[in-house]
Amino acid sequence: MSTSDEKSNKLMFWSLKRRTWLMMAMLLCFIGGLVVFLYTAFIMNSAEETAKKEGTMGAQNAMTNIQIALDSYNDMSRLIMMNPDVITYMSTKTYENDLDPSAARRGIYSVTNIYTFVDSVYLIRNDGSSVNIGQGITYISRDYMLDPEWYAPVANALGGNVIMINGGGAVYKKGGASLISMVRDVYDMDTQRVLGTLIINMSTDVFADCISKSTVDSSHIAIWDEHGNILFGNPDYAEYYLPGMEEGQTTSTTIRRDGKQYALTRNTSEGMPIQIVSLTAVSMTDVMPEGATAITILLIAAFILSVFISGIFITVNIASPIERLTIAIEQTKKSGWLEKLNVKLPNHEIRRLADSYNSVIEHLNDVFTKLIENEKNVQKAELRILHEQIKPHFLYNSLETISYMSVQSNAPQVHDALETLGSFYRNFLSKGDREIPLRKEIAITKDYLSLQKLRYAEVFDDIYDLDESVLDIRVPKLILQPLVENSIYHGVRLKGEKGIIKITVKGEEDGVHIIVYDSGVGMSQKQIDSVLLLAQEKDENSSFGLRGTIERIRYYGNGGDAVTITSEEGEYTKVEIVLPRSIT
Amino acid sequence: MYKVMLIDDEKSARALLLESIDWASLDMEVVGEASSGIEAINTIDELQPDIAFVDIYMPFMNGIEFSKIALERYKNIKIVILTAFDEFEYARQCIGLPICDYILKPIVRSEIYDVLHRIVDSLAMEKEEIEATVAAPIHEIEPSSVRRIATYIDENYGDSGLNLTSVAQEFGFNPSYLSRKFKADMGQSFVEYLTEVRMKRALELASGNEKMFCTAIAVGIPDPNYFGRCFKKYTGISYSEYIKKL
Repeated sequence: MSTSDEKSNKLMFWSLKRRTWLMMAMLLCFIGGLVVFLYTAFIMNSAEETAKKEGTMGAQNAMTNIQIALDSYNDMSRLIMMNPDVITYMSTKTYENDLDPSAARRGIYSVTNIYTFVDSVYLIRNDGSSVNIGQGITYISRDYMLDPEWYAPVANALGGNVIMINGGGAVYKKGGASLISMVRDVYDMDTQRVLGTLIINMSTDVFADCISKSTVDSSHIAIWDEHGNILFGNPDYAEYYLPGMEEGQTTSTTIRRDGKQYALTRNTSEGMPIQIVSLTAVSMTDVMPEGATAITILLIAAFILSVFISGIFITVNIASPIERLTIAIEQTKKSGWLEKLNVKLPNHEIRRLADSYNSVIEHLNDVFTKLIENEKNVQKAELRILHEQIKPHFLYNSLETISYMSVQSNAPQVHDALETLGSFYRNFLSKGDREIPLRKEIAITKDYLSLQKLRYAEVFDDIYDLDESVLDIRVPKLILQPLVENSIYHGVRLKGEKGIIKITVKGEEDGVHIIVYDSGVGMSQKQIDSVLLLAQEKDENSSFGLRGTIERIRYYGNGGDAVTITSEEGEYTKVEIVLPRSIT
Repeated sequence: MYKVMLIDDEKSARALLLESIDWASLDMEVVGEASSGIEAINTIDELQPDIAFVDIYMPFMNGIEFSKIALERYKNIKIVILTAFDEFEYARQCIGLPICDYILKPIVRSEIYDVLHRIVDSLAMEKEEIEATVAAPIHEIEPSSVRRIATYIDENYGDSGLNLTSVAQEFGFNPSYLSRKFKADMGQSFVEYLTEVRMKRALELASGNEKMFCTAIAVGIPDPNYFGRCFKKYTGISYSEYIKKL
């Protein structure tokens, strides 16, 4: 048998209990797997989607807020341009008058006063003269401004604002803080001629203000310029900057950060040289309300509990009762008797199984009892037939008739002999008890010997030494006659000279001793052994009567010691039997 | 002398008992034999035995039925049942009857002597008792009563159980007294009268060519052997001869 076969066999013989629990474990695994799958496939996915949407909305909202803010600065720039002092300053022809920068500066201030986050404002005439206001020190590079590449977008805007970071490289604030610059050309209102350039620089605090007004948490957002320099937000987010991202786009992906799931959203906008990145935590609570989660957990717990309860139910109601039943049947089998089961079982099919087993046992017992009864009856009938065949009535009547003839013929010896024969057969064939008084057993033996003496008068004499006090004990019928028969045929008769057969009965402590002594040829030890060793091997030569008798005596008496044989070859044989005073 | 009656359907058994036992030595005498219960019940009144040996298995009326009837009439009769072991079922029916003893067949003389010695002892004892008790007054029987009894016999002879005892009981008389009175008044004994009535009827039936065993039953002697003997004794010839002569 191969190993796999053995394994499968082992599995086949797994107990119901083990199978049940295995099944339960498999069910639990299946349900657990299902829950994990559903969680990842649906709940997590939709949580991610939700986070992405939220992130996108947040980033776009931030961008919109920034644009709205910048729009207000756009308005501010227009107000500056429309300020009469500014107009005067810009439209004054050089060398016609002395420029009055202070009036222009005042004009600018009067506008910028109501706006926060304005870092500095530069008003530069085409001839290079300029006025400016500002906090701190801000440098502006004139050479940069003269670069046509820098200027092209401004010119193309045709008086519209162009938003740049740090003036597109032309502005530098001392200390390195970034500024948001709005650059526009200033036109003459009548001639539509470009008079100069207006540059408004705002601090990046404007972002903080916008973000704080948006739906996004400022700690989860970062803003870069188009060169990848961070303008605002969490500096740890530097890795999320995407260089070369086209304007006016929003992308969203999921990432892991510090072991948590986040939706990463990048947002750019047309005309805005910035990139906004926001992180939104993916949270189950967003897709599943807490109550629903609790219910789900409760349901799972209930399911696990019901699996266990089913397992226990099957174990208690099916597996364990079957186990108990099997053990009970095994024990009954070991006891060697067909006994009914006495085992506590729940009142269902398994108890019915035990009940049917019991009824089968009952039936079997009935059958066996009947069989035994039949066997006994057959034996009785056979004995009766045997008895019938002897026809004792015919025998007795014939004996009496012949006795009468002997009396008539005056042959008293014949009458005596017939009487003895009659008496012998009367006792010998008698029905009734299997046990008879010892006195009667002796009488049978005496009759037998006196009849045998008619034939073998010259062969033996019989002598009796009887303890009167024990002659009334009951002994198994016909135990003595076969012994004296043996004494005649295997003892004295073979010797060729006259011998004696002596029967001694005496009561002793350990029981009643009956000794049959004959002065015959004796027995060898081998013969004695073969007689005493029971009829294990059938030896046709030896007397069956003797062996059978010994067996019967042993059965009634005290076992193996009930019969002893002592002998001296050529001298004597002594058979001694010990019987209990009362037969049980 | 004690009177002994032997009842056994085996002639040899009766003869053996008779021959092998020295009755005289026991102050006993065998006064009669019967080969069936029927014969015994018909002769017991004449014989008046003290002791009866009864074989348990006999045709027409077995030893137990006989013993019951005999013990009703003769309270002090000693009945010894002869039985074999395989007649144990019969023997069991004896329980409750004052049976004196049982002897197993085939008989052994020593056992019979043992039983007889015991019986002699108890009889001797009873004799003393009877002598000691005062005889009960005897109810007078009128001659008319005897005639009525004779009529009763004439009408009921077909009943095989009919005997002195049963008639005496029927009329409320003492059987022994009735026996004596009957003989005195009628000139013949009760049994002689009953037998005569039966034989007269038998002769009538024989004339009608009736078979012997049928006649035997009809006249109340269902044992054909005994009937035959009775018939021969009465007519001097056997039943078959009588029919031939017709």
